[in-house]
Amino acid sequence: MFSWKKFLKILGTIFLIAFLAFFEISFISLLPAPFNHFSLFLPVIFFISIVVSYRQALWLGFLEGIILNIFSVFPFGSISLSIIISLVVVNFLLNNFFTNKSLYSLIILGILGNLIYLFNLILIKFIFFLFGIGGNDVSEALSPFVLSESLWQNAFNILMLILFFYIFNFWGKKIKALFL
Amino acid sequence: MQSRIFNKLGLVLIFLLLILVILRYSGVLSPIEGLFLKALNPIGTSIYGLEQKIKGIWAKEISREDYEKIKEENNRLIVENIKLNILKEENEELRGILNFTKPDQYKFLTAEILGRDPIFLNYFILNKGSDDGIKDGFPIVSPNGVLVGKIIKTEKKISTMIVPTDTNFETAVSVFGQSDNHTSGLVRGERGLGIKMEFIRQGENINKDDLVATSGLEFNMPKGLVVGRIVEVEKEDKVIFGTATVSPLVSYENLSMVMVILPQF
Repeated sequence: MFSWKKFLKILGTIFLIAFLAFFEISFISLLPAPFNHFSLFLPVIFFISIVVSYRQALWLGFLEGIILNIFSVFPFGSISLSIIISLVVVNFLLNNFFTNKSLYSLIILGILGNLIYLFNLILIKFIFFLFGIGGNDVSEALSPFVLSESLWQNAFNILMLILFFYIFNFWGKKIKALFL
Repeated sequence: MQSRIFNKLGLVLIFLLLILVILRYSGVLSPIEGLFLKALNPIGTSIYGLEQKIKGIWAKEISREDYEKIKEENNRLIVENIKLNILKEENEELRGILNFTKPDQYKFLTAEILGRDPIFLNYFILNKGSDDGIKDGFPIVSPNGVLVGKIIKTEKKISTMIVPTDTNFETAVSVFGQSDNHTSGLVRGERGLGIKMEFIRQGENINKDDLVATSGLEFNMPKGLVVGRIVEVEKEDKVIFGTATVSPLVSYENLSMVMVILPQF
């Protein structure tokens, strides 16, 4: 049966996915370094996974990855696959180790999720390099320049996660806040 | 139990992804992708335009010293332009005498920049694709004719260009300087930070501020597209080839509109 609430929820999700994708491609990536290393969709997806719903985060990550992949030279499916794998690992760690949903666990899971996502991309790049279809050698992928980009990305993502945490804590009661 | 169900969703999504990959590479998804891009490209262009306007607000004002340097360079270019015009007239006169007509080998297609690849930040996305005649390897110039990249990936409605500072960019070039011998070499990007010219034979007379332009030896790459200016020449003893550092003439980050060079043949 048709429900306006469900319809609006789906519409809101589509809008969020499109906004995150275009904000990433047409705004953030064109900012001067190091600000162009920031990835808005990653902290959003990790936050939703940890605090709101793992299921929703998986679908969001899947669809977001597909849209980003259309605009990327990366092999189609790689970005979605990297996001899904990092979400699965983050969820596993959340359910078995970082169960208290505090700010610290959010930050650590965000860092680990981001690193797993980046590692997946480097691995996929290397696999394609081995098969001679572009990609990068490991030495290029793990160069100090690339690693410094990863550090900046982690730093920005942590800031966003902290921001989301306090905003959500202010408006909702689902998470337990622990001050630094 | 709950986490096992959710991990099943992860596997289902990976399986769904695999199906989508197969459908995409077999071309089944192309019409849907085309419609999707047609609908969303204007949004990307608008956001990019907004970003450029914001950048413009924060741009520093030019200093007096910089102004004088630009004025001096402008004067030098005016003189050079006059000499070139003279050469052009002589060239046309000679062609007329020889009844030689050179057909236009290339045409230019204007494209707007939508944004950057979310993973490879040295790759820019253009709002024109194979439907407009673009193919991989086609060169791209800025509105004032400086080489700013090459097409690296083409879809129906969009294409991706790589800038000269990226590691995967390379093209055959010649040096246009004080010497009449145009030294040949190869330019390659350096991890997004700069451009290096390699395979410069030892003993070649190249100097700082010499212009580097395409030599026309590469397929679909016209001759004479300026890549940059030499800032440093590195020569080592007991080495066959030297290298030089090339500085681009334009800032690739400030590009909003480019021209793709399409061969006519």
